[in-house]
Amino acid sequence: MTGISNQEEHDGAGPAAEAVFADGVTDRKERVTLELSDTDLEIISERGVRVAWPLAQLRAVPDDDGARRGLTVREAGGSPARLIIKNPHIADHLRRVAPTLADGYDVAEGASEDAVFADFADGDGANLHRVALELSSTHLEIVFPDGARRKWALIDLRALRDQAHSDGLVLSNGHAAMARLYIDNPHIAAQIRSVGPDLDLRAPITNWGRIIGWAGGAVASVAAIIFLLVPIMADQLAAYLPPEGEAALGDATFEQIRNALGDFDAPVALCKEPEGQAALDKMVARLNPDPGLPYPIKLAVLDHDLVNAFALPGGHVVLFRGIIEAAETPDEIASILAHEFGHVVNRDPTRDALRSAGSIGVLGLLFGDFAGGTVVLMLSNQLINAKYSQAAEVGADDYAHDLMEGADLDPAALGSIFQRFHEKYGDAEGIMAHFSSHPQMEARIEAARESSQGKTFGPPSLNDAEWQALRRICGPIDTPEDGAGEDPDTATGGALGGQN
Amino acid sequence: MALADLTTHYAGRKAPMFRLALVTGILTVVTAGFYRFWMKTRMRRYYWSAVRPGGHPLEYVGLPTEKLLGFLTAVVFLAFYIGIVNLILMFFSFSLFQGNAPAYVVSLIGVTPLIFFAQYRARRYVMARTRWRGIRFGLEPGVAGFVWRSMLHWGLTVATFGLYWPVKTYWLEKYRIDRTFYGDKRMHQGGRWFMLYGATKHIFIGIAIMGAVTLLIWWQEVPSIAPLGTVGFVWMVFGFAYYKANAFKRLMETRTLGETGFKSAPRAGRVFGIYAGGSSAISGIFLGALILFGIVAGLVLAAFGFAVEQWIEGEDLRGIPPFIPILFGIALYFGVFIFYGVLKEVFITLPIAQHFAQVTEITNPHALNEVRQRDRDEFAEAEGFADALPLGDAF
Repeated sequence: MTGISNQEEHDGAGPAAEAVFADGVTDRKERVTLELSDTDLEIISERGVRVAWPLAQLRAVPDDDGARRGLTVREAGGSPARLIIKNPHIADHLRRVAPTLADGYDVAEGASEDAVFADFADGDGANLHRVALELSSTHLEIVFPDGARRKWALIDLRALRDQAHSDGLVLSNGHAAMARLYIDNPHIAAQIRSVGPDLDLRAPITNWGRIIGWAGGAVASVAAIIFLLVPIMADQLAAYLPPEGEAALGDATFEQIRNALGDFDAPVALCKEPEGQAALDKMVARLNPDPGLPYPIKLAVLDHDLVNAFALPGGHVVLFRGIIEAAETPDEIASILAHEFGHVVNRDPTRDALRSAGSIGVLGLLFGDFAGGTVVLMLSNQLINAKYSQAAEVGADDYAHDLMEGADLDPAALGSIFQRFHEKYGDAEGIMAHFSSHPQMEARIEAARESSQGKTFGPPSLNDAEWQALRRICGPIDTPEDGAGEDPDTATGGALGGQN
Repeated sequence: MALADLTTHYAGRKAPMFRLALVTGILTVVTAGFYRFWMKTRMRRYYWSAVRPGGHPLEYVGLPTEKLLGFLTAVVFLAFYIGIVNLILMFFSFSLFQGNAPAYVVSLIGVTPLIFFAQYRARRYVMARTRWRGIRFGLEPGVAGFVWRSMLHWGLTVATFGLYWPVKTYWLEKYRIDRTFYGDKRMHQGGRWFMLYGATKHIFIGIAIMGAVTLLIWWQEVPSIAPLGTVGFVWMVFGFAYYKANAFKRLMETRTLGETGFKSAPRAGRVFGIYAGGSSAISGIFLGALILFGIVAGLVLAAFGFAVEQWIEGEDLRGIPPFIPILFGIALYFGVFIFYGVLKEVFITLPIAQHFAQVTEITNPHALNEVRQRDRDEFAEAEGFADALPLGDAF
């Protein structure tokens, strides 16, 4: 290995074999010294790092300012790095040893000369190889600087997907292979894209068996937890929850439900017209639910159209305005109340709240956090449409039956209001969803009727004036029959109304 | 081939990222969240390949199906933990404290070690699936040490109202970096435990200004200097950007891989600008959409006048089945949700990644030539725990 500045150049001022190296990526340039071997031009940084450019791959960069006397050299293959040689003697010497630097070489060979180089990572070491590429009708041949060759069959070529540098190409020889070929030049990339038949083939999924197995396991364990373990534990724990705890749980969920059903700026209003309130109080006093309850019943009417009623932990019982308007006699409301009191006495809402505390977290886990807030919605929804077990419904019915009889009221009222809603709303709506878990409901309605037949009961729970007051507990009623269809004659009314 | 330090190109661009994030986001919602394993994989492939130290892209080789499998594995264990533990916590919270807040607090504390567990495991998975120049990265097993250190350092951070934060960051980062490999070579995090405090100076200057202004207003009753409080606030916000940039620089430049090191010069102003500009762009786009909606609504009203009022108030709208407005509402909700996520990737995540990549260089890259390949880390669980616990996401 000899310095370029041999015999003839020794009289030059300073170390003659110097040049400037620009990496082409940043604006930075640094001084380097050059050494020449039989095959390579070695570029040595001030820190002693060496890089070898094969002489056969040197190219002159045309139309440079100093092109006449100096020389700007690049490496074939599209690398942005440049070696700027100001000294004309060194430039001439280099031109002599590297014929590819001659003027017009690039023009003669054209872009295809550029097109055959790429960087190769063998997957064994982090050093990269600058390789030449040759394309045959079946193979891509990779030629290493030492002359070694690798053949990659075109049908085995795979391109990495979703790459940011979409003009280039990163290739591998089959999906499992570790070696990579980095092609930055868009022309070569395009050419290889046109000849590689399966570049975008996805790796086959080999672990379906395990995925299905674990999916089954996941479903089974979630199901076991939600439908078995959590309910059993909730039932056990509900009995031990102290009354203050239940009351707190109920208070919290009651406010959540009011907020969830209300407009976004205000929770649903509580109905508290004094006369209606007095009527309701009288009805509760007549029913006289179990005085042994650990907490007083907290009865509330919400100003909402839902035809529904539900109980919450800690003695909360909630009626919606909708169900009061839908009832035909005060005793029907009394029977609904008695049924909900039954849930309170049996602590069904507490069990249910504990159950959903356990299962909601699990469901949130399954569906991920891709839309925050859905979980809250599900929680509220679950509480409103609480579906108790059949045993719980039977228990509440039994309790209601006894309570009605004890209050000298006809228990058949419960049956009649269920039946009417059943006919009107079908099985899955509102209150029916709530009460429909009675498998023998029809039978029970019949049973209630038969048991009450022949018996005489006391006066209704409310007199007419009180009943009307209860119906107006949320303020004056606007009957829907009068409000609808005011302007049947307008053109738009006809157009849209036709869809009904 | 470069003689100097290896500089980093960044090939990521906004338009392709917008398309990728939008398409994968929509697919994720349409599949009730199950496409998210594919979404994550594809987004990472893009982000990884955009970073090109020395002109050669990073490669992310993780598979969506292994993430799905890892998630299912985690569900089996977590469902039990979350279901039963939540239930018991809720019970004790209501029986002892008459409220559910303690349950949430206890539940959070109970789940905290799991989150750190998930973080380390997810990092191990991601490192094991990252390659550069065909060589794998890796993270040594060591999750137990990470969990107790995290508990300790996070505990101290909370107890000191955040003053301990830079120390916590340093130690946890050191724990991870010291167990990180590139091929067969181990990385090392040098530096001292207090070195990140230097990066916090602008936060404290901002706070000091705000404190001084408050004092002057309350004790000296000079309300006229109140606007100076805003200066203090902006200064503090800039301070957070400065911390992000400067802490990155300090950690990066004391990090070594054998004889190879790093140089980094992130600019606080640029970081601040990306966040400020990005959030303005996002709110601007949403505001623009809102205005456009207003204009369309206005035009409809102008064109049809009172007829519209009758559609709205009359019974004509009752002819529409109720599920149509519900579907419309759901679509709008998820639409806004997805679009926000997409814009965030495009206007904040990508430019930040771009800036930090472009200012970071690898010094003495020649020594990298000695690095040999490391064995594959099978790691069947992937990042399942991190997936199931949203907070554990390492990316």
